[in-house]
Amino acid sequence: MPGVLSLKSAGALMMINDQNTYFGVNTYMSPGPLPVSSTGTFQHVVTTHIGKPASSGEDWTEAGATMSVNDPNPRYFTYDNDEGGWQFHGAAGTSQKNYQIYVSSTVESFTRNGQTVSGYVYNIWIDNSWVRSGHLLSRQTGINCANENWAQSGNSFSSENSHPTFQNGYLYKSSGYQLWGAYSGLQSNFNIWGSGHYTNAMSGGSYQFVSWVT
Amino acid sequence: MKSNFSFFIILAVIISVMVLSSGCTENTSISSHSQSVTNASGAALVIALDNDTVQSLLAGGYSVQSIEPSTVGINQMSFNVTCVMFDTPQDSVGVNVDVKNNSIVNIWTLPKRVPMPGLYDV
Repeated sequence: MPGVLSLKSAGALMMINDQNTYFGVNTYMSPGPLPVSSTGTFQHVVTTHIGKPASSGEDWTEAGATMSVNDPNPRYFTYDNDEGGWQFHGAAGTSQKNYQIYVSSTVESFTRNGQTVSGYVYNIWIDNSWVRSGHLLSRQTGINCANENWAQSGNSFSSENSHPTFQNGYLYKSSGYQLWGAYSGLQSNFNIWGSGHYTNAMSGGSYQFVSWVT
Repeated sequence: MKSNFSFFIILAVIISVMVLSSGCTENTSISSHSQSVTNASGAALVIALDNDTVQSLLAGGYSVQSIEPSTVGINQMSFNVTCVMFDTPQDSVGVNVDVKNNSIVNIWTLPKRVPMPGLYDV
């Protein structure tokens, strides 16, 4: 029985501070080549999370691209922490694709951690194709975009020569949407850890979030 | 709850003293810059553990992953901070601390997934 690897991480994260207004996100992301190596980054994930903690525990979903040493093929993926875990949606390229996660007003019952509860139906599109639906406990939710690099302790992270980029993003709200950019009323935080770096120039009214590790 | 809180503070102070003591005994030529970084690390940990939101995020158990000088962006401004990273069963928790002003700039979490298929020793 193989053991689960214990990995350290480095990366960068763009997030909105307000977890009580927005219903989802529509953004364009190019993951880059997702470099991995047995002596460097073991798993690489470039992704958009939505969700926020509930009294009954974490409640979130995500969509992005990933690759690992043990599965060295870049793949589109989605993940839901309490409703199905990982799903894969074909080979990922390095070019920019559209990612949308929208939490609808439709409420349904579903099973969460063995309990029947009510949740809002969310839908995920990758490259404008619907790939997954599920439920979140809150319609208004937290949103972030992340570049996660995972390596075994003692190894360095692989260099990213072509940097993952999120851009042209906008946020869904009760009356339409608004660009994910720098203006009064929308505070975004940009966090780095390990050897993470980022830039966040404005482009077309929204952030162009470029991140990498060294 | 109050006793838990006191325990966190006492533990943080003990860890801080151990970190500082270790730095002083292992390298007597430690530079003033390194010393100030170490002092900032201990202070940042105390400030982080003193925060109610952080305490609630760590309630299920945690370990300190790293304490490092870092930056945080708030919209298009950037600030120097000390980043305290915790590991919990459900999340990685980042706490960006402004040690000079004895305050927390922001707290963020990166939720953990179950290992993806293939992410095992072979």
